[in-house]
Amino acid sequence: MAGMCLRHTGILPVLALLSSAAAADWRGNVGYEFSYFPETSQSQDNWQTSSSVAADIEYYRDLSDEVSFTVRPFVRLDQRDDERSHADIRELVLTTVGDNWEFNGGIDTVFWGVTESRHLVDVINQTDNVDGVDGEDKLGQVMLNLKLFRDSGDYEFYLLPHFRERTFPGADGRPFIGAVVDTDAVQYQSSDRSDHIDTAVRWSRSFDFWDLGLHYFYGTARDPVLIPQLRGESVALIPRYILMDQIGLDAQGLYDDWLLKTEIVHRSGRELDDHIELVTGFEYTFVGLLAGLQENDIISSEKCLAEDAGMLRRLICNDRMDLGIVVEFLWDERSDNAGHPFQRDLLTGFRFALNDEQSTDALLGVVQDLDGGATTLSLEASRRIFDSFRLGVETRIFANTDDDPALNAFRDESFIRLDLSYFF
Amino acid sequence: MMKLTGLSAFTLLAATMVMPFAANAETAEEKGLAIAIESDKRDQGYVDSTSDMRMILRNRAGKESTRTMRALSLEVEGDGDKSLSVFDEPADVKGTASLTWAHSTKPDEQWLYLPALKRVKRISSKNKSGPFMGSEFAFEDIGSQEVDKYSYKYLGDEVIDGADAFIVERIPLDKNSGYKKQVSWIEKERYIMLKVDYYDRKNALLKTLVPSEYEQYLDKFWRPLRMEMTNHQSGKSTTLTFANYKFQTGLKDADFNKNALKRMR
Repeated sequence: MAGMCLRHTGILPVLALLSSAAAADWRGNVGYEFSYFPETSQSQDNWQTSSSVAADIEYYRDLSDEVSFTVRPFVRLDQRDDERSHADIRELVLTTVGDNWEFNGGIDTVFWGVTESRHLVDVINQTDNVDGVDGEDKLGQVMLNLKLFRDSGDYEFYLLPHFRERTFPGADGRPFIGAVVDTDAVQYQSSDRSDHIDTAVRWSRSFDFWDLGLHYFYGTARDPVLIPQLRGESVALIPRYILMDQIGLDAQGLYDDWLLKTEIVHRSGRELDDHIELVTGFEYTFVGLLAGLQENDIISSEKCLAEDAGMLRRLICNDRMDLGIVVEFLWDERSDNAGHPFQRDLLTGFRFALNDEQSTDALLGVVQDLDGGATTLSLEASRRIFDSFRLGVETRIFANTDDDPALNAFRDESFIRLDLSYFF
Repeated sequence: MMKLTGLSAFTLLAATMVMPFAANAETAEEKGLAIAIESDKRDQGYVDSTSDMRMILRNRAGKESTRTMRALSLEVEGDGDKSLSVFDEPADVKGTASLTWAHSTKPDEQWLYLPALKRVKRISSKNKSGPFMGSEFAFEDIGSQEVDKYSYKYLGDEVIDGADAFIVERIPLDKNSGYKKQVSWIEKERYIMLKVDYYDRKNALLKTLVPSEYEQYLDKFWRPLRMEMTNHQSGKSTTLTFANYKFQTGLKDADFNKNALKRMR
């Protein structure tokens, strides 16, 4: 797959010819990433460090007052994992906008939802599972999409004619999930396989300080069931994509300074137990967290302005820093049969925004399994450097995995990743 | 996550730099309030406006960094205005856009669009005292300046840079404001704001804003093309300049909702 896609990057010089037109715009980023895994893996190849480069480029052009064209190719080259070296067309879409409607035809990326830890209602696009581990990287989806904007709310209709399989790390990929997913042996419940036409409708509306969304989806579930298969001495996982009905609600409300968030879905299908999944919680922000230290003369302002202030003092003296607390409860009615690790878990997150010239921010999150299972710790931080670059660090630590069947395979897969990207 | 909310309301700040004087007020408080009400009235009828903005941040050592953005605003009768803006620089936030519905008697509503995730997020307006994109402008300095959000007091007259001016003090009513008070100098002849001193919660002088290079549009609306904000405590400063001001461009209510926010380029 990777080899085929990479040849398609020849599309870029062609697009460059288009860029001389008026109302056209290029943007994107190219980045280098370095990963380090402190433990050796259970995978065959015992590498601990890896390098990777990626480019995410978007070209936009107005074709008329009502019609615009967007193309957004993505490509990644990975030193170790052939499956992670991949390319995708995230967007290749014509958008037509009327007074109270919008039509999108082509390949597009759509986001639904309000929560931070899991994105239950976000069913349109497949997850690009090799590109990031947080489920927020998405593969482009072929679609015809009509949106109607009415006083009673926004109505969206989707026809999704071609299904995209989830990407998985290869035999040399990390984090290694304990067995290789054999994507060549993919199975579908539908006899139409990836050509089953999926459909979705969504209604959404804002009421004062509340945003509400309701949707219905019928089609191929984006999450595959992974079926273990004995291959000689080793086990391979066969992805099977089943058909499902999903009804879901997402709600977000601002109640005083509390941001309340809920996503809930009901899923059912011939090969699926009827069940409910839920993410619910809140976010609360302390604005200027440490401003009180100087206001109440706990630290003198003179000390804070001293030229020789060290890093720690500069941090304590930052009266502009905001701290957001995010708490979310994750639940799946199927409990241990959920097929994912979040059957009864709690996310506690701390979002730091330094509000400095470099827009430094950090998100520290701890997901604790409430049934005695694993603790997952994640830290994502980034800072702008040299005006057009951003330096990021991401770490995931998997702890207490022994009694957690869903995360046991990750016991040696904790990692830290550094990323330097150039934006234009 | 970056704080970007309310940025589009820069143009609303520019609008309120025009502060006419109303005579015959009995007490200092009534006189101050009358000025604010008259000022609000004088800016009615701009309908909508668009502009390009450039912000230069300067730290104590003189090191500079730049932000550029475009802003649209729409006048709303009987309530606060709606505004939308999108960043062009720094490149890592290019395409990030914000939508603000200002209200006179309840908190403003704000949404932020993150292009990398194609996600629209609602955000609390509690962060009004926080800095806007690392600059010396706070969100509340650039947000819609509704009359009902302050109490006022007329302090007297003064000649500033050769121009006769009124001095008006205003006190934020919102407990989340970062200021104890603001003191402004309003030129008598053109009724434009020449200077504002901001006092922190300890009532110490924190910042001074000096708007300049005023231009008149549609023979009525005065807008400063340059604003200089200096922080006296940190030694940092921010220069904000405006270009390509356009008025009554035909923007509609539908250009200021969440779907328009996603389409903003």
